[in-house]
Amino acid sequence: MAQAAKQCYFSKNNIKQIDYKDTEILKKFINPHGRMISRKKTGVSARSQRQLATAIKRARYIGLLPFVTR
Amino acid sequence: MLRLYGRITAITHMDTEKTIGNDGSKVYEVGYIIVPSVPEEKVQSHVDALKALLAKNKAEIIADENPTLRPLAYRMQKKIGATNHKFDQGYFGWIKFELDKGSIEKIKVALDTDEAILRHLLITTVAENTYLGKSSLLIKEEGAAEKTPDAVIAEGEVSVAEVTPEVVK
Repeated sequence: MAQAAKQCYFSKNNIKQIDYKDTEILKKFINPHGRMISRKKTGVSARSQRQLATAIKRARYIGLLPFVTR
Repeated sequence: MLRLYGRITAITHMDTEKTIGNDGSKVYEVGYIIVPSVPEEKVQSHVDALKALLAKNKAEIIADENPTLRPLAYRMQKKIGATNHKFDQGYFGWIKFELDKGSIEKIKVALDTDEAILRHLLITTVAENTYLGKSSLLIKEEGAAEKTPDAVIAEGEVSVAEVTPEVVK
């Protein structure tokens, strides 16, 4: 059965640039293990998903988000 | 991890063109973690030194946030002198600035060689504010509010179920 199309979180909230420091937003898009959630599940647009992936990777590097959580 | 960082910088360079100003300057943002062994009253002097370096290179500071002590998501290691030190927390701060394209290398070298800086992240960005900070929590509440229609329907069903036995009685 086809799933109803979800609107992208970032276009809905008018977020044009995703900042790596906004960890509260980024945390919505990682699973309990700290891995990124696919856009198939989150409904984020391709453009935003690319930005989101960069932001999560930056936040991980600077220690704001974990690489892995057990 | 270094390889990953390399990939991130590669991505960063991809979207540089739109951030270049008319005068050949670019908007950068540096996020840094100062080692927690620095006493809290001396943290500001490190920030001032960094800002002085930026001023020396004719950078224009757009926005910044002073470092605050916060736990790190994972343990980081830095070689200071001959020994490796491990850190679980650090003072995280950031500065957004506009700088001439050619001068960024000097800033990077200074950040790399500074022993008080545990780690730093130098990226190109846009002059407009991108950091939502605490206002991102407001979005969360809106998200919760969106769920309420479902909750209302559920409550409505419950109330009907509660009402009917009374009617029967």
